[in-house]
Formats: sequence, structure tokens, C-alpha cells
Amino acid sequence: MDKTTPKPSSAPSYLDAAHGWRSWLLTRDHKRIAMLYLTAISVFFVAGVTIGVAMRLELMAPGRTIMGPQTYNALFTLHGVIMIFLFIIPGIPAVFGNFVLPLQIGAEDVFFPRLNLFSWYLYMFGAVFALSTLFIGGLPDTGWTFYVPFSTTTKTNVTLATLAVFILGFSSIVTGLNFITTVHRLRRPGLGWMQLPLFTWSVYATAWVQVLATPVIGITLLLIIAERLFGIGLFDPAKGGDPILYQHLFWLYSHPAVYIMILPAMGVVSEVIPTFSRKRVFGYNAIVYSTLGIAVVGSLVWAHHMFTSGMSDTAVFVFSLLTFLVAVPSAVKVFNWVATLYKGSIDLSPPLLFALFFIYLFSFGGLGGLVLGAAGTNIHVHDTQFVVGHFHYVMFGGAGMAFFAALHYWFPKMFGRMYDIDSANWGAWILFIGFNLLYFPMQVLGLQGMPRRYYDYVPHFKRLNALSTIGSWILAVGLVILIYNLIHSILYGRKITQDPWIGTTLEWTTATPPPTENFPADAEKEQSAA
Amino acid sequence: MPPLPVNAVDKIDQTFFLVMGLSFGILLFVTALMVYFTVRYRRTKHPDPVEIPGDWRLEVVWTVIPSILVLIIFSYGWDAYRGLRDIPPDAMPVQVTARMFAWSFTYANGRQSDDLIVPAGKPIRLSLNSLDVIHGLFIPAFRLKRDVVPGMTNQAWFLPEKEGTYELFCSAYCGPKHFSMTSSVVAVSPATFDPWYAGTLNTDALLNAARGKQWAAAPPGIRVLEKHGCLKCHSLDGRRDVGPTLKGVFGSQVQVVRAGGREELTADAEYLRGAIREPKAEIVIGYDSLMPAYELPEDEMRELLDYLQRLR
Repeated sequence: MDKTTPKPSSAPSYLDAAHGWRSWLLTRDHKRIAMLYLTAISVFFVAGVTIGVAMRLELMAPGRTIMGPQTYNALFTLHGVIMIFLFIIPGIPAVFGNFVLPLQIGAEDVFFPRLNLFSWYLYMFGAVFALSTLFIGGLPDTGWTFYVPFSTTTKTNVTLATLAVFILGFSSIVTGLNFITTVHRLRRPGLGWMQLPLFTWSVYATAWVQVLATPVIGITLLLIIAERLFGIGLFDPAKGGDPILYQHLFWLYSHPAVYIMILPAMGVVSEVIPTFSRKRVFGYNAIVYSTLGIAVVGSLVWAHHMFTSGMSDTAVFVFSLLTFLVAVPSAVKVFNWVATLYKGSIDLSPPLLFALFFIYLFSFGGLGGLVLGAAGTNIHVHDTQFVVGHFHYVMFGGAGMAFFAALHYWFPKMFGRMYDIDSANWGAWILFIGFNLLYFPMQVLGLQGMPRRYYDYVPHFKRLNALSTIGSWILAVGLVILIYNLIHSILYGRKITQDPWIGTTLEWTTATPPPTENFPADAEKEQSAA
Repeated sequence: MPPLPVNAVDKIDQTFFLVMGLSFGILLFVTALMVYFTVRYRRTKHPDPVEIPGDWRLEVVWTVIPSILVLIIFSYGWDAYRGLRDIPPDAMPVQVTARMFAWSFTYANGRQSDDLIVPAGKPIRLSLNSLDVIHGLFIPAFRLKRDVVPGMTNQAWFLPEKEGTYELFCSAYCGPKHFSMTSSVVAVSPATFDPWYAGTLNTDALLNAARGKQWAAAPPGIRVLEKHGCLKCHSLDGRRDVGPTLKGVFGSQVQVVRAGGREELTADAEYLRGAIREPKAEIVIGYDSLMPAYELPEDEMRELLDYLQRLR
């Protein structure tokens, strides 16, 4: 491997290039915008976790524990909206896509730097709208799915919340557009498509889903607002409308959205495993094609959320079959990742530990997905705690663990400091144990017939609910250790200028942390050639 | 005699066992390999990685095998699903009416109950209707779930093979007290069911016998309130709930919003009748317009008003 160690550059790092709040809030540097996202997203993540722990506390015992039903219903709606629209969807693409993607293709920035900053402002604007429902007109109590006709009848402020999601959708579209253009136009000369790092590939594929699917939810949510304000009757059977139409429109986006959440996570894992095995990834082409396969087929399975709704049996047949087909490329990825470990030289550092947790938890959740994909068994577990457990296994266990893997992998590159490895390992293991104790009982409860979104339950569900709540405390302890370690290290961590992992992708060839221009040596070369 | 209908539950459970067995095997295999490689090839023992070139044959193998497995699971799942959908022609029809946050079951001869009382051994056909938002009929014991959608009559069926009481839940989130929208399936012997259906055995006697619950002592007004699910939203002790409390409501002054605007009026018998029959016409200030309209028989209405008058 002829990797030249980065020459000590005279250019200051992007962190030192400018100072003052204006240099951050008006920046056009993709790395600084990534930091803006990281800050905001972390705050929302902690808020979402806090709400989740409070909900678990309420469910610890039957009857009222710490809150009433209306509060509980509002909180599970807020938890869903925060975690999905403010954390997982933007999480990996907006933070690590922004920071790493231009570096990985040898570019100086994204193609539209101003648009990039604009999309962060849209995100913040949407977030403020979403959270303002806390104070204006009452928190929506519909669940994050906003199903009609309940969402058009409830007096709570569904209008404001859906408007917020509409704005957040725009932010997502603009970011996706930016990444697609960047990958097409700004690749370093000679960097072909099949040489792109897998993380870049996955963010690129995700960007297409963002651009194509998000407009659908935007329009759908505007229709809800129109229904609430003007009673146009599109979803109201009394006026000849159809509530099932809403569900189709909602899932037409919201199912592809789970691939918006998971594809970048898979990209992270595809980077971390080879780096910490000191090997090239096994089956690069297969992973690229499976990424594209998931993006395409994943957009055609939305109605598997509606097997009990009363849609035709033919539709159940088709959507069940397509759902099973989308399972295959995910399995192919898992096999390639595990094969990459074979005969490697494996360093079980925190990023790899998180990546292995990802493989286990995502496989667990994915295999549970087979129960949901099969029409006969879906009917029993649909709308039960099983679905809640499944969703958290694939989203928190999948996308969430990958977010932590990415954070611990690129942290030294981003901040030029190192975190404490032991604390990170401890935090990761405690998080993992708490995670399983929290979500596994939910899956069992679902099989036993406990519906989801239940504020209270019959006594024989008591023990597993108590167990799950205890799991939430352990998980919270793990998170506190991890987050404290990272914040402490940003301020006081050991300074480093070298790549600690010996990564092979382009982002590791520039200085740590990178200068504003990313690759100043290249820019000089180009100038002298001109 | 027609052949006994095939119970859909068995095939569904077979699919559960198949999927979970396969899943467990795959998960164990992947995890064991992952852990083994991580330990066996740790850097301290295995400092020099061996580059393994990709192999398209391996990719084909681990694409084709999972494809075959998922297609097998799919066909099992589809077959099990059809069992839930093929309603036996001789099934006994029951109309299910869902509204926030109560169930009501109406039989072919007009008999009505808020528990689903059925004869054991006979297939039951359910026609599902909603008076307000989307609900979901969920009977875990029979692996049965079907959404109850306004403007649409979904069908479902099940076969209660043994006598017993089974939980019935609302599975689709339907509002503030979604969790309280529960009922039960009470499967009794035909010898008990037939006189109940004919009206010679009363519902309380049947339920008391089936589950040993005693509520015959309650005044008739409470029975009406329980029967129609009123108490899911209206308290009897002055507590604020989804709807206003019923304690002391009779004869009180209420502030309402109606088409013309705000108004204060006295909650007399005439007002209360209207509030039950057409609740959306006048909404008490501070509450949401969630209550569907109820058509109570005159004798029940009188028992109810009589009770409310005494509830101080």
C-alpha cells in the first residue's frame, strides 16, 4: 500500500480557520455544516431518548404510574416524530455524509455549498415548528403516522406538526439533490463509479430515494392540513373519500424512508469492517448492487404495512412477495461483511464493536421482519408490541448503532482529538445489554397479543413490561457513558494529527482535522498547471 | 353433515414455528462465525491479514439460498393467510360496531351484546363497521386481526373450538382511551347459547356463569352506561376525563358551543337526550367533539336519565 503520510500542511484546520458565531452560522464549509447538524441532531436524540425512558417508566406497571393517557399518547407521537424526522432520517447522511462524502471523492466541498447551509436552516426551522406544538395548541396525539380520520378530527395541533414534517422533508430533498450532484460532478479525475467508497455509494443511493419519495409525504401532509382546515373530504368516507388512500400515500414515502434510514448505516458498516480487519471489503460489487437493489425494490413494498386494512387479497399477495425479495440483498450484505472478517487482522476497537453489534441487532430485527412479511403471521403481530420491538431492532439497533460506529470511527478525523477507548467499550457493551433487555421482551409481548400504543394493559403482560423498563435504565446508563466520553474528549481529549486507524479511503489522506479546502496540495497543483 | 371447517390458527402457528426456527438457525450461524473470526483473527494473534479475492460463485450461492428460503416462507405465509380469508359459508353472521372506545355486537335476530358471545364449535363471520375513526378488531387467541374502517365493511371469521373467555382488543390507535377499548369473546356451549340467542336467558346470567363476574346488583342506569361504553369517557365521580363527568350533570348549568355560537343552558332531560342522540350539535366548552351519535331504545334512555337524576 503506497499511502503517503499527509504532509504537515500550512493551512489551518477547518476548526481553526475562522472564529466567532458568524463563522459557524454563515459557513459554507461542508465540514462545519456537518458539525451544525451533529450538534442539533445530538440534542434531539437526547430529547427523544428521555421521552422514551419516561414512556417505559409509565409502562412499568399496570395503571397510572407517572402520567395520564393523554400525555402518554402525546409523548409517543413526539418520540416518533423526533426520532424519525429529526434524528434517524437526517442522522447519518446529514452529519457523516456531509463531512465525509466530499472528502471520500477528493472534492473541495459539495456541489451547492449555499444550498447545503440552506438545508440546515430548513431542518432547524422544521424542528422548531415540530417542537412548538409543545406550547401551541396541544401536542398531537395521533402517533407519527397521522392516520386519518383520527388526525383530521383530533383538536390537538396536527396542522402545525404536519407542516413541520413538510419543511423537514424539503430539507431532506435539498440535501439529497446536493449529494447526487456532488457525486456526479466532483469526483476526483480517475475515480470511477466502481472505485467509489461504499459509504459514498450508500449515501448516493439514499439520496435518490430522498429526492424521489419525499415529495409524496409532503403532498400527503398538505392534504391532511387541507382536510382539517377546509374539510375537502378526500379521506372522508361521508364525502366519498377513502381513509385507506391516506395509508397508501403515507407509506409510499414512509416505507422507502426506512431505507433512507438504513442504507447509510450499511455504508458505515461497509467502511468500518474492512478498516479494522486490515483488508479490502469482500464482494465490493455485490455490496454495491445490493445497495441499489434495496433502494429500488424497497420503494415497492409500502403496502405491507396494511395487510389488515381491508385492501384486496391480491395486493396482500404482491406486497408480501416483494417484501421477501427485499430481504435477500440485506442478507447478501451481512454475508459479505462476515466474510470480510475471515483471515483479517482484527482490532476490536469501538467502531468495529458497534459495527458487529449492528450486524447482530440488524440481523435479529431483519429476521423478525420475515414474521411480519409473511401474510399469515403478519395478521397476528401487526399493530402489536412485536412491531415496536422489530422497528427498534432495525432502526436503533441498525441505524442507531451505525451512527455510533460512524461517530467513533470519524471522531478523530473530525475533531483532531482521541476519545477514551475503554470508556467507549464499556458504554457500548452496557448499551448493547440494555438494548436487548429493553426490546426483546416487547417482541414476546407482541406474540402474546399486547397491542402497541397502549397506555395500560391487562395484568398478565406485567412481568415482561417491568423487565423491558429495567432494560431502558441500563441502556440509558450506556448512553450516558458514551456521550460523556465524547463530549469530554472534544474538550480535553489527546490531540492527534495522524490517522489512528490506517484507513484506506481518501478522507484519511488529508490532514487531521482537515483544512477548509480539504486537499490544499491538489488545489496548488491545479493552479500551477493552469 | 358438512366437514368441520379448518381452523386457521394451526397453519399460522406452523408458519410462526417455521420462520422462527429458520431465523434462529441463521442468526446463530452468522453470530457464531462473526465471534469466531473476531477472536481467531484478532490482531495480537494474527498481525498480517490475508487478502481474499472476491468470488462470484460464493455470491451466487448466498444469493440463491436465501432467495429459496424466503420464497418458501412466503408461500407458507400466504397459505396461512388464505385460511383467515376463506370464510365458511355456514358461518354464523355477527355485526360488529366499533366506536370510541367501545365494541358492540349485533346478531342476525337483533340481539345485542357488548361481549362477543358465541357458541363453541361453530364458525363465526364478523362484519365490521365503524361509527367514527379506524379501529382494529384483534383476538389474539384466534390470530385474528382486521381493521374496522369507516365507510367500509371488512369481513373476518374465526372458529372458537373450545368453550372459554378470550381477550378482544382494539389494535389500531383510535384516540385518547384506545387502550381501554377492550372486550372479550365468550364461547359457551350451544345448550347455553341457544336460549341466550332466543332471549330466554339474559346476558348477565350467561356472563356470570361464564366468568363468575357479579354485576347484577348495579342499578339499571349503570348497566346502560356500561353496555354502551359511556364510562370509557365519562366518569361518575366528578373526575375530568375525555368527556365531562356525569356526576351532578342533570340540572346543572353547562356552557356549550353550537352552530350559532356560545351559549349557557340547563342540562335538563331534553338537553341530555339531544346530547346522546346528536352529540356533535352542542359541544361542552373545553372538550373535543369525539362522541358518536347513539340511538338508545326508549326504556334504556329512561333508565339512564333516571339514574343521572339521582347521581349527585
